[in-house]
Parts: sequence; C-alpha cells; structure tokens
Amino acid sequence: MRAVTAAQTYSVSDLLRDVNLQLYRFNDVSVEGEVSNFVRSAAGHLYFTLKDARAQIKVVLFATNARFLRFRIENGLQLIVRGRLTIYEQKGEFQLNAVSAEPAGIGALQLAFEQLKKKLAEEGLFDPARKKPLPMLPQRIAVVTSPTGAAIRDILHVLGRRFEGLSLQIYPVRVQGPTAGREIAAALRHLSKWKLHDVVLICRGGGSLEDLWAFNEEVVARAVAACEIPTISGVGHETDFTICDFVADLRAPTPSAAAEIVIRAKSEICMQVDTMVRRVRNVVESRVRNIRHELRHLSSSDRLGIVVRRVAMARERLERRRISLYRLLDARAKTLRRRLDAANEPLARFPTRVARERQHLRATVATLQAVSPLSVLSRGYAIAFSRTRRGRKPIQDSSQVKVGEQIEVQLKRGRLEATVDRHTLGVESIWPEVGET
Amino acid sequence: MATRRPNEFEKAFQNLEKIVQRLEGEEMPLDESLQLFEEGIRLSRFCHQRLEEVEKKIELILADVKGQPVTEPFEDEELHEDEELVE
Repeated sequence: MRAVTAAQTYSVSDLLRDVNLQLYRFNDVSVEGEVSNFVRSAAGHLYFTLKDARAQIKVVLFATNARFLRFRIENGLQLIVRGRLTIYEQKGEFQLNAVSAEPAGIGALQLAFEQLKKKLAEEGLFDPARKKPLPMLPQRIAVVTSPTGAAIRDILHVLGRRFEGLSLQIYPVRVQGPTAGREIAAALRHLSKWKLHDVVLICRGGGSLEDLWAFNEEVVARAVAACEIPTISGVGHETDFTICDFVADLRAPTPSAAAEIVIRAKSEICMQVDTMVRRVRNVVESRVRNIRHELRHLSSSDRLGIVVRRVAMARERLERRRISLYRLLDARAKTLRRRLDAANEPLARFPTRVARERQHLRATVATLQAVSPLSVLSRGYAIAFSRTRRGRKPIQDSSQVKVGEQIEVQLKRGRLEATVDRHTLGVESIWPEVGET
Repeated sequence: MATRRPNEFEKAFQNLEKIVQRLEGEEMPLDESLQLFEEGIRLSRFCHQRLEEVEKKIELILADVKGQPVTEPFEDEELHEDEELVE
C-alpha cells in the first residue's frame, strides 16, 4: 500500500506551470492531422481539433497569425500545423498553440485558389449568364495593369499601327505584392463608376502562382464581378488560369490576346460593314440588271411576236363574238318580222277586196254602158227630143208633137234640127221599113 | 443577366444587317429596294465614320483624392523602339 501523498505536493497552478516549462522542448513542433470541430471566433481566432486514427489534439490559431493564412481552414482538411505545445492553465487543457498552418500534400496557394474558386462558383459568379457581351465596337479601352510591366508593352505592340479609331487609357496599379489585389479592385471600382470606357482589360505578364496571386484574391474577383463595363482578363501565360479569368466577361490567354480581341473586333466590324454594303449593292444591281434584261427580252421580236399573236387572238375572239352577235340579232329580226307579218295579214288581205270591188265596179260600169243611150246611138239609133219650156224631152209618142213643130234629133255624132212633117198614130213596129225614113 | 443598352453604332449596324436580309430575302418592288439601298449606304457611311472618329491616344488615367478621373501623358521608350522596328 502506498502513501496518499508523494514526496512533493503542487498547487494546481504550480503543477501546470511546471509542466508547461517541461513542454518547452515542444516549443516549435509541426504536427500533421485532419481538421475537425473547426470554429472561428468573432475576434478571428481559429479553434479546431487535429486528429489521426488513434489520437487527437486541440489547436488554437490566434487572429494575429490567422490573418496570414491564404486558404480557409475547414473540417476534413489534412493540415500540417506548426506551433508550440502548452497546457491552457485556466482550463487545464493540453493544446497546440499554432503560429502557421499548411495544407498537407498541396500548396497553400493552390488550395486557396481551389477554395475561392469553389466558393465563387457556388455563388454563381462564373455563371455564363452573368457575362456581359463585349461591345460590338470597343474603341475606348481601359487597361488595368502596371505601366512599366511586360503586359502593357505587349498590348501596345499588338495594337501597333492598327491604332486608328482607338483610345487606350492605362490605369496604373501594382500587379504583384500584398497591396496589388486591393489596388486592382479599387481601379475597377473607379472605372466602373466613371463609365468612360467601352471595355476594361485586366492584364499582367507571366509569372509564378505567387506572382499572379493578386488576380486570385477575392477582393479582385468581387470587383471584376461588380464592374459594369465589360471586362477582359489577360493574366500570365496561356496555361495560367486565375480567379479573375473566371469572373471576367471574357478570358484572354495573354495580354497580347486581349489586345487582339479588341483590335480584331474593330477590323472585323469594318469588314462586315463592307461586306454588307457589297451585298446590298449586289442585290440592287442584279435586280436592275434583271429588269433591264427583261425589258430587252420583251422588246425582242420573239417576245413581240407573242404580243402580236396575243392581239390577233384577241381580235379573232372579238370577231367570233361579233358574228354570233349578228346571228343573234338576225334571228331576233326574223322573229320580229314574222310577228310583224302576222300583224299585217289582215292588211295584206285588204288589197284583194279592193280589186274585187274594182272589178265589180267595172262590171257595173259595163252594164251602165250597155244600157246607156249613147250605146244605142252608137248602134245607129237616134233620139228625138221635143223642146219644152222645161228643156228637152225624148219623144216616145208621135202625139207629143204637132206637125210643123221644131224637134231635135240626137245622133251618135251631132244633132239635127228638124221639122215634123206628119205623124202617124198607133203602135207600130219600131222597126221602120227599110227606105221609109 | 447583364444587359447593355445598344449604342448608336450597334443600332446602325443591326439596321444595316436587316436591310441586307430584306433585300436578299424578300420580293419587293424596285422602288422599295432602291430606297432600302440608299438607307443601307447611309448606314454604312455612318458606321465607317464612327469607326474612325475616336481620337488615337495612349495615356494614363487614375483617380484623384476625390475619386475623380485624371489623365496624364504616357511615355514609354520601348514602345517607340517597337514602333521604329515595325517601320
């Protein structure tokens, strides 16, 4: 059985202070493990647990050190943490007081890049629908870059003599170092507010990931996204991709390529305008040519012949119509005439009656003539008249006259005045004896 | 979706495109096509004019203390060397 007390009894404080002193040989250690229970305090201190399959340790990374981290610490991350081991005396907790942390197996910058890229992508900052279209004719160009860097020289070289109708204004910024990101972001904010330009080029020549880092900073990415002028990002070489490239409206592989895009836009527009003018001309000219051709064709004998034939056909048609019209009129006239004739029939019969009556008259006249005294006279008879006071009176009885009385004798031709010598009485044959008168 | 108000140049360009399409795609009286032709030529002149009207210049632009733009001449020796080489 052992005694309850050992050789020495510590107060709690003394013990922990003593242990802390013993831990001095772990004053600068690096330990690798997986992050869990990550918490960030309002003051910016980071608390998490680092663990492997069998053990775990609490880690604290105070804000003064945490602000130098380029990547975000998050649960599940395999991390190499450097710091010193202590016991947090107030709580009696064993912990690693970290001064820095590095992701295991991958560069911190690379991790930071991936993390920011993932975060912004989730926010939709790379969404193609967010991309502003480049202006058709970018003429007023702003370039956010170093005025002494390789990028601006490349750009000016590309533009070279194809500079007509372009204005280039360089917004000078540092493109490397701790303030570069903030300067670039400020430049973009100003340009966006001024709206003096058609397009903003964000450029830097080639370099390491470290050199290009400013273009991977969140502050730059946010400023690019917020820029109201269309942006073209041309950072580093073709193989370098930056967050700025993803957010910009257009990514050019290099600063030279960014300048190419701008200058090509202009010369292509020029060409397109010329092409359209040519097409307009072609259409109208061929139109006029066609019409002229058509006119010539029309006036040629062949075509004219068609016209003549057409006229002849029309005339023939007219003639046929006229004939049938005549026939129609003729038939109608005949009908009318027939009807007229029918109406005239009593009238037509009328002359025969006249003739008959005329004949009858002639017969009557003949009878009259036959009984006329004149016709008796013409057969040799004479009529004797006595003269009375009432004129002449035919003598039918010899007793009508006295002897010695003057009488008249009417002959066929002429008249005799005679005196009665004697008269005989009685009825006697009217036929006188021959030689007696 | 960020949209931009189409500027005069773009309108003129688009109208020119429409004219080309109409002339090439539609049957229309000669009179009308000649009118479109004239309009097309006018638009193309306008486009060319706009293409050349921006003054060629290279300068620095930055913000003053009030955040207003100020410009400064930009001098670059190497640029001049480049230009001479091109020539």
